[in-house]
Amino acid sequence: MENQQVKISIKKLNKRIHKNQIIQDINVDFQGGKIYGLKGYNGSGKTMLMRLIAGLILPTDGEILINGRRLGKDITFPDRIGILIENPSFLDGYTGYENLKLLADIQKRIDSVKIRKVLEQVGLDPDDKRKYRKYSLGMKQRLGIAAAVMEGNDILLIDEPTNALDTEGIVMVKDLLRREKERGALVIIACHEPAIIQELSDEIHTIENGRFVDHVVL
Amino acid sequence: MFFKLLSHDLNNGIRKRLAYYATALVISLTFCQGCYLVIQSLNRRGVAALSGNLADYLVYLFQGMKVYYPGPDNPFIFPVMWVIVFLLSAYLMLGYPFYDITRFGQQILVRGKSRYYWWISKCIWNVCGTVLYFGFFYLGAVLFCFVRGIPISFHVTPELLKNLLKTAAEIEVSSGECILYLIVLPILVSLAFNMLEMLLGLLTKPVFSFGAVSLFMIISAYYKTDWAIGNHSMVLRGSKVLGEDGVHTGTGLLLIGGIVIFSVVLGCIRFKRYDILTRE
Repeated sequence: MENQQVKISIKKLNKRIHKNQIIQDINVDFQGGKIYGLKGYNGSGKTMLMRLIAGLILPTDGEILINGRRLGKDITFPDRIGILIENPSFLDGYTGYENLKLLADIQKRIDSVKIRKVLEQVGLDPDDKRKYRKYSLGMKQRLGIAAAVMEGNDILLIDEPTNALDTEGIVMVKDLLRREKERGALVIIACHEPAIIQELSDEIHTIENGRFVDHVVL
Repeated sequence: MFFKLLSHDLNNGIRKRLAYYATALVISLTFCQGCYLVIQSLNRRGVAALSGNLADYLVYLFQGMKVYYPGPDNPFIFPVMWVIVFLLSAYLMLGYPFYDITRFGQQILVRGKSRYYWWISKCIWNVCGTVLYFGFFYLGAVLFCFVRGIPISFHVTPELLKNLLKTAAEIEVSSGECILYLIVLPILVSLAFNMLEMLLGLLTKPVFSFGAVSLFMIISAYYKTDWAIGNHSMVLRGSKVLGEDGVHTGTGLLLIGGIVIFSVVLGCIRFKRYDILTRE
């Protein structure tokens, strides 16, 4: 129930890096319990918008409100957020489980049983002794998704969720994201493949040159 | 939360990179061997008949360079040992924060919820890394002396140093002063360089910050002034060698403290608005 109240309001958002206008005048509201798809060509601004929502980069103008609190002013980062932006990146010398444990220990919201369960859900063996450096691209992607969802976050930002995944992996990700939505999480995905974005999303925003140019409610 | 962040930095930025820091030990052993050969040569030529001790070796390692006056009678000199020691320290402390923040550190940061903590944690990591680097450096010197049967003492041999450093007067230094000039000041000077480098890395790019700090070191080598902090880590620029003309340690300590505090505070302010982008 708590999750369904999650709301992100973006008002007159602009981001300029050096002289490049990365995001231009974006106004949008996102609500919990839905999956939002971001569609657009490479360099259109999808990932930058996710970084802005995650609090990793700060707006040049405009504001992002997370449940009414201004990001970068009232809060530094959204309270309960899971991110997989661009490629997953973990510590090479640790196993998948150890990497997740290290992250989970920061907020101590989940225990090792939950970590093991999430690893199994994404198709990884929690007892696998291989270090992250030995993982295939698909395994790395699965671990990245596990890290984003494991703590039952209110907001999930997943950039290219199906990257490097086989057919079975794609099915797993779709199921997982649908479950997160049903739980009440606000899920934003960016994806190149129109079919996947179409299938998963409740609403699709198309970005071109940092601007929202189309909005479809499915 | 802060201690989790700090533990991550100490684990990944130090424990897992121990081998890099240990290069200081190799450098130290190499330079000590150089010093040993010079002393042997002095003994063979009958200039001095002393083997020296740990303090003499450290004075040799941190001698820096005499004040350079360009002119036809003064051949160009370059403080190779001094530059290697301090530049290697700056190089080792260059990459980790920016490597971390563009990779796994992002996940830590988002969960840690505080940009302020991130910067303070990196500052503490910088202090620990610099101290560890010099720890290895001194360990190398101690090991060398131990293996060669050279006394591990902090009482310099003025007669030997006069010949070793080619100074006009004999250098008289107490044990306490040895610790200040040969341990405390080199570590603090290096720390100031490294903190400044980390701050400049936030303002520009790490590679430019390394270039800027290298330039500060070169300025210190060729320009004797209290303001060029590198001077305070060179025995040959200190009051023990140059008397009244030497750089003032008190001013040096104030400057070093100022640079460190400035770097911590300005870094906090800058990192609050710092855009965390990709692994470029």
